[in-house]
Amino acid sequence: MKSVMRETNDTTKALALEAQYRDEVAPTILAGDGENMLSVNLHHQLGAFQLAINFQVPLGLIVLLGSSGAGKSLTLRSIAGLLHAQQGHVVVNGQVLFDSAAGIHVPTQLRHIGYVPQHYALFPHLTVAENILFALPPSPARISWQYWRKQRAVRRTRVAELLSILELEGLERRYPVTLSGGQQQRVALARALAAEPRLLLLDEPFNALDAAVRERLRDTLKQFHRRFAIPIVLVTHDHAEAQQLADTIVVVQHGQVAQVGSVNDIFYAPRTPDVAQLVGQHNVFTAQFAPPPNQQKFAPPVALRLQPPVPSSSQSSIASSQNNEHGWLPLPGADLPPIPSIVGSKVISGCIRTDEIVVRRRGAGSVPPMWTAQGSVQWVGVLQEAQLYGHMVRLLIHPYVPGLSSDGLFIAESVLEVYLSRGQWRDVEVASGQQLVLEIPSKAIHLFERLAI
Amino acid sequence: MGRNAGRSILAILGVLLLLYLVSPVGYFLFQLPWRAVPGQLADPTAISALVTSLLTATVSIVVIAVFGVPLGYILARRTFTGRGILTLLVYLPLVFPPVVSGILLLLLYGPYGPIGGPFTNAGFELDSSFTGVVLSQIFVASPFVIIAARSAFEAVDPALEQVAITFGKDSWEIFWRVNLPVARAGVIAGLLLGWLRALGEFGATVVMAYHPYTLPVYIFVQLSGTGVDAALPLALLTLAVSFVGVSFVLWTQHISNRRKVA
Amino acid sequence: MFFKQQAQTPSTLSYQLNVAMACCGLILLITMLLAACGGTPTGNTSTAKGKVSVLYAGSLVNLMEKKIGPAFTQATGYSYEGEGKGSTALAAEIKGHLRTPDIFISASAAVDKSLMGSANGNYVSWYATFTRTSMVIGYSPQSRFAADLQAAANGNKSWYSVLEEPGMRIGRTDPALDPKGISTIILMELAEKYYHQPGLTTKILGSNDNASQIFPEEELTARLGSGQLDAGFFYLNEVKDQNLPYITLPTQINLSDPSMNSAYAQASYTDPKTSKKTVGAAIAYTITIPGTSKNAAGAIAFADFLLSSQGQTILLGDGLLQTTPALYGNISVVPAQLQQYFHS
Repeated sequence: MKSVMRETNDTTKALALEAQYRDEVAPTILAGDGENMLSVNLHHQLGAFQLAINFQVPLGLIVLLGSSGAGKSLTLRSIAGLLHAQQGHVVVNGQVLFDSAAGIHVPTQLRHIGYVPQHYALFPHLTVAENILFALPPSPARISWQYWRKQRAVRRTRVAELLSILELEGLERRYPVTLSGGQQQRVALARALAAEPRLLLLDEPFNALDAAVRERLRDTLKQFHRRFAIPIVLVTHDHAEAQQLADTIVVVQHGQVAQVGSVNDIFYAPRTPDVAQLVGQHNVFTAQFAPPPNQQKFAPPVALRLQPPVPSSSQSSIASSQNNEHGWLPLPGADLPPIPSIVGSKVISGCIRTDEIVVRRRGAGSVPPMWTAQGSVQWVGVLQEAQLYGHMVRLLIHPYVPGLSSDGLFIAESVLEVYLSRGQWRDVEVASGQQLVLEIPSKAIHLFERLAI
Repeated sequence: MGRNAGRSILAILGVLLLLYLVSPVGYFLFQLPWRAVPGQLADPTAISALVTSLLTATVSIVVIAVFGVPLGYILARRTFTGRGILTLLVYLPLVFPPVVSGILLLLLYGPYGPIGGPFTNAGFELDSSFTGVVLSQIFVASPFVIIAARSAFEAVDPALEQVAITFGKDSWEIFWRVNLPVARAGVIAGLLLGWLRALGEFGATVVMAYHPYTLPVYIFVQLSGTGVDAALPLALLTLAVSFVGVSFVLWTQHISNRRKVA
Repeated sequence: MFFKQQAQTPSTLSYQLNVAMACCGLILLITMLLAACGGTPTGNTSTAKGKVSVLYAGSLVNLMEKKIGPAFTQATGYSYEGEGKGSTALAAEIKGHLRTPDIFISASAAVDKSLMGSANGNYVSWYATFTRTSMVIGYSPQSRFAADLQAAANGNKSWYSVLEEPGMRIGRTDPALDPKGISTIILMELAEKYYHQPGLTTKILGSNDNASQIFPEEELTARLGSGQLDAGFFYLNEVKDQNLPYITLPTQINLSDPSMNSAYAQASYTDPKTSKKTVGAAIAYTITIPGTSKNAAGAIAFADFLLSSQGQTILLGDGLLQTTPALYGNISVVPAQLQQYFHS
């Protein structure tokens, strides 16, 4: 597009070309509906690090979630074209940007993809207005003074528009070094938008900001994604941010895609223990499968023995080795999905969803019944700590495992995490060291498909 | 060692060297027969030599800027086989004693040289002329500019270039509108250094282009012919010119930085 | 809601500064282009007739630059460009293709001879002596030996006993680069015989290449003037140029009188590297138009000027001694305009 525009030397033609440019580009910006897809397949070796990414998701607000060093930034840069992967393909909305097999690599300049790196990369020698002006698509060659003046006015208006959208009025002549983090971020966004991108890539955009500003900017981002329908790919390691913003989440770990899905998919059904940890499900357990009484080949697990992550103390190992029936916590029961081909003591892994656990006070007296009428299992636990967590309260509870001690209860090293609202906590409030009853329905148990990617 | 002792040691080391550098100039100014100076400076040949020095140094630095700053940029930003060797070559003029540089240039551009011969026969001498002085100065001053420019460009955040690429800018625009302005301070410092070096060049110009007189050569002629007393006021001239030049550049840098500080 | 920020002072200053710098740059550029086109800027009276480049012995710097050069330019309209160095060093530069002068003035015929002949590259085909000088001992009035040296100049003390005083720093030039260096050694040998003081040369000069005494010709007077040396061996015209006090030496040893050449010939110097033997003779400056000359008309005009009565008057005024120009070489190769000086 750019080179074509430079060759023209006729005002009418130039205007027509510009209109065509807008017509061609605009629909792709606005038509961000479910039929458009982002398809990324990358294989690249960078020193000791191997990148093997493969996902295909609808365009919208896509979040690449992963811990540091997982390869998210590399993926982003490959989509932008700044990294030329050794193998693979990148297709945005049907347009092939990169295909190693076919020998296609569209240079970054022609991809019309906006990229906002970490720390924003604002030009320090230009004012805010000049930064945004820099990104505007080049106008066709100057043909006459009037046309040039008109173009200049058009560009100025565009800059003013962008400034007002992101609430940056009054900062036009400031230099980036004099702005706060939040202001710099918004300038970076305005600048990326100025280039009229088809796709916006943001690399940990809110990382360096304080919590209050982060909240507001997330809202702003969501708003203008809806308003302008520009597809966004955002990289973050913060699961709360991913939850708040994403239409689709791609979990990246060790250079590979661990899971792709909607927000609920990821949070309610993480595929591996690592993904679970990443999205904030901390009640991960690895457990031994207790053989069912009738020795069927395919049967749901009936009980689990929580294995502590560190070498167990002498007492618990004595307990577990001496008596098979002891040391087991029962699982809720029949609703659990069957684990194929698990016979005997095999290790399985899963998590207990914190939002499904119900916490109640332990009434004085005898041990509460193991099973409720609805088929949930009831465990007893000891409260280790209750942490105030914003609007929520985070409880850390040791579950009891039936064992050898005199009153029939035994402390395990495992800790369960439960979140209660403040109101709920007021109902059950006990001191640390006191006992609580945990009611766990079968839907709280989620078993991972695999232990690792 | 106490904290204060450590700080003092650093300061003392620096001050000692500074004193050593400043004291000859200070003593020189102190013992100069100031009354005689204006008369001695009225020498038309001296003024002519001064003007020649200023013009040749400025022409040289402009040529070096046009060709050397892009070279510094390429050495900093592009990777290619032979980059190490190319960097080494840039250091070459620094390695040679200036007299040797002059001889090398004369071999090529002198009246017997393959390039200089045709020019001289056509009546346009490449040695012993304004052009000869400029050629010598470009040779000796280039490394300063190229190396400073390379350092300055290396210090530019690569992310700036990356976002500029995504805006559709081509290589030239990125160099001219992103890398160069951001690296400007370092590049200008390098140009200043090169200008001063060109201004003070003696060894190569003595061999390659004795005439037209530049100020350092003329000072030497005065020294040989008339004596130390004739040479000192000219040294004063050199000092004044360099001082004015450096001050001007530093002042403009200061002005342009002031409006960007938070 | 984000708080609206106060607008900062608009940078009109920066705009004005940019405009100012752009204008400066433009003016500078234009000036430079003009200068580059025009060649050497201010100071040249006229370049219409071209320039004459003169290489001359280093002892004549003041004479050539301050007197002969300007007078020549005024008389003929050619511009003058001169460079002074030790004669032997200059000959090496001509041979080494570093210099292509129109005129070559040396302080020794031997140097000219070394450029003659096909084995030497045929740079010089003729030369003529045009003036003479004598060896003297110049000294620094600030020296701590100044009183003694002045006594020697007045004749109250013998100069060689003063030079022998411990701690005396003596300067002379390099016999390898400069005829005056050779003349110094010959002078001392003649003094040995004249004063019946065997071993005097070694006592005062040390070895022939004594590094503590040898300095480039162009720098010698400067070192004396700045106090690095107490005394040195110079030509008479050099010390007169710089207004330095000096000790006159007897004619029998100061190499000034050609009629005493047979006496001078009793001493000689052999170069350790080339084994070339130089026999003592009166010092005479020679002039020639070498084959490297580019401006033939200008070169002839310069030689003419120097040999003419106008030139000779200037030379005498500088402390040089009169001599009848004597030609060495075939007169037929000498330019016609100059032949008038050599019809003896």
